[in-house]
Amino acid sequence: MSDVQHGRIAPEATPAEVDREQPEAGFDAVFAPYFSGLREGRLRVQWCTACGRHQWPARSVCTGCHGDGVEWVDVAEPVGTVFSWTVVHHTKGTPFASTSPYAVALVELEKEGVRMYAHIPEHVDLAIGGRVAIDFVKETVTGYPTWRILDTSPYD
Amino acid sequence: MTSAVRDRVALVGIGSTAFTRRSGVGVDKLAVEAATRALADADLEPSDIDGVVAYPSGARAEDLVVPMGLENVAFSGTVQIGGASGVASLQLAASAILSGLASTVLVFIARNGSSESRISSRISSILPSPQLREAFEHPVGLYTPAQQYSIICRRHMHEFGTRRGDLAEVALTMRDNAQLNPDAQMYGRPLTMQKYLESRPIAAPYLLADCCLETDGGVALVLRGADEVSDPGRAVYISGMGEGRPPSGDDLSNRDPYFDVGLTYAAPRAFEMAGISVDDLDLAFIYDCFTFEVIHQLEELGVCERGEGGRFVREGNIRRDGRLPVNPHGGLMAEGHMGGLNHVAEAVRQLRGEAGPRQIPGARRAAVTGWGDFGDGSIAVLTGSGEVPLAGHSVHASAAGEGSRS
Repeated sequence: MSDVQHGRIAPEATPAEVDREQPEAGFDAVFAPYFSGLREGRLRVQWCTACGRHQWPARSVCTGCHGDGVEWVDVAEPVGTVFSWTVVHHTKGTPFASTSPYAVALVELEKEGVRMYAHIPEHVDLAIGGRVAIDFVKETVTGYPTWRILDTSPYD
Repeated sequence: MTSAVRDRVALVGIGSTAFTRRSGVGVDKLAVEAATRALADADLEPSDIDGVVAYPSGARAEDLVVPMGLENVAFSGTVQIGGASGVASLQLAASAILSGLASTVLVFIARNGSSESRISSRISSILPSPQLREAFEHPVGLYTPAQQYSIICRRHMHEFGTRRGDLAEVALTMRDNAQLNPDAQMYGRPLTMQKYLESRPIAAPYLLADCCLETDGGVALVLRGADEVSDPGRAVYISGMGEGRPPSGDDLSNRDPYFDVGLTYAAPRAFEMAGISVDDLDLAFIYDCFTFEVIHQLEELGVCERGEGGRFVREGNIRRDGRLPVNPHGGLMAEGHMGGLNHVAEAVRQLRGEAGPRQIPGARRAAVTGWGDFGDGSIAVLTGSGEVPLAGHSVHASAAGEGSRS
């Protein structure tokens, strides 16, 4: 998997050192470690210190125990299994209008057990059960990482 | 507790504008036109209306109250569960009536959903938890309900063998029904399988023909306590109702169980309230925002087991002559998207026996579902007057606890 990590992703999940230089209030502050992680080539999700479960999407509280002991951890390996996907053709009026068709997949991170949406420009061989990896080099038009297909589905 | 609600509130008037792609008028005019027709249908005056429930997009309560001169409005509200709000509005109106806060409530939608505020511009202002949309969905190119829901559809196809042909069956059935409804936008425009398959992809697997019609227009409904019904023969009673939210209700990515929706939770409550089972329904009005959502909601309504919805529609069961006719007016897909309030209006016509050439013979009980946002759900179980004991009898008999309505 080293080819997909660009040498910047820690191989094991540890609580991230959260950048505290984020003065914004509200959800901007809650989500800041996620976005700063992406800029550093790290994919992060939330982790509840009280009940020990990963959480996605990010929230101010843990939906399991309703406590606020949620921290950010690096994803063990930014590789996931395709749970389902759509191919977007009609996206008039968005920044993606000139880039369609593209796929948005719902990707399950194996170790963390959470699913997240992933932008996949090259989607012809995409299949449920296939594996995809984050690609920090190739960005979306909005400046976010894309994902790419590692292998196709065991169901095909 | 539930018997205190069952059949205690009635739909006494319905009214609609024309459904078009471009109304050319303001939503206040659409609201007044629909409300005027609903009041005429109910044989009531504007001064009788003391409660107003507005749909969460399009005209607000004031867009109706002011131009129509509704001077006695003492109660107003709006339900905020997206497209499920229309059917859930019946519950809000009923709660005002049953509590005595209002006696006659007008529920309405008036929207230039095609010419002014199409879905792509509308959703960002009314969806729940906008921070999740902006942080984790829009940056990866995920915006619209068609995109979000097509992901559920594909997973359903994978797990249960639901097919392209099943989606087509829903689209073709809705369009076929519209051929008997001169008020439907797709009246006179039949759909063939070839035309369905050739329609352009929107968010695969959804094609254009899998999507409902963004529509300009208005629908209004008048509700009153069963005690206040002046023409019991035309009243349609609300036997059961409810709204529901699935786990992770503002997010479709990490829902567990994945196929749970609001209707999964609302439907059993509504049927218990009504004292009937899903098998007692003569027809159903399913919120057909997209083809697969009909299949999904049939399962969660309890019409068939989860995973069997594709087969259920494949066998022709939702056609007019099928086991459970669905949306005989053509639905959101072929009549027009009026937040599901046009489904309620058609349910009233059917249960009155006033649906003309598209009348489903023997229609006495119907369920109407709503679907909104990230799978929030609502339902109303409606009963025609012939099936309601004591309909038209003295107020005091039921209020005193006699008969099955008390």
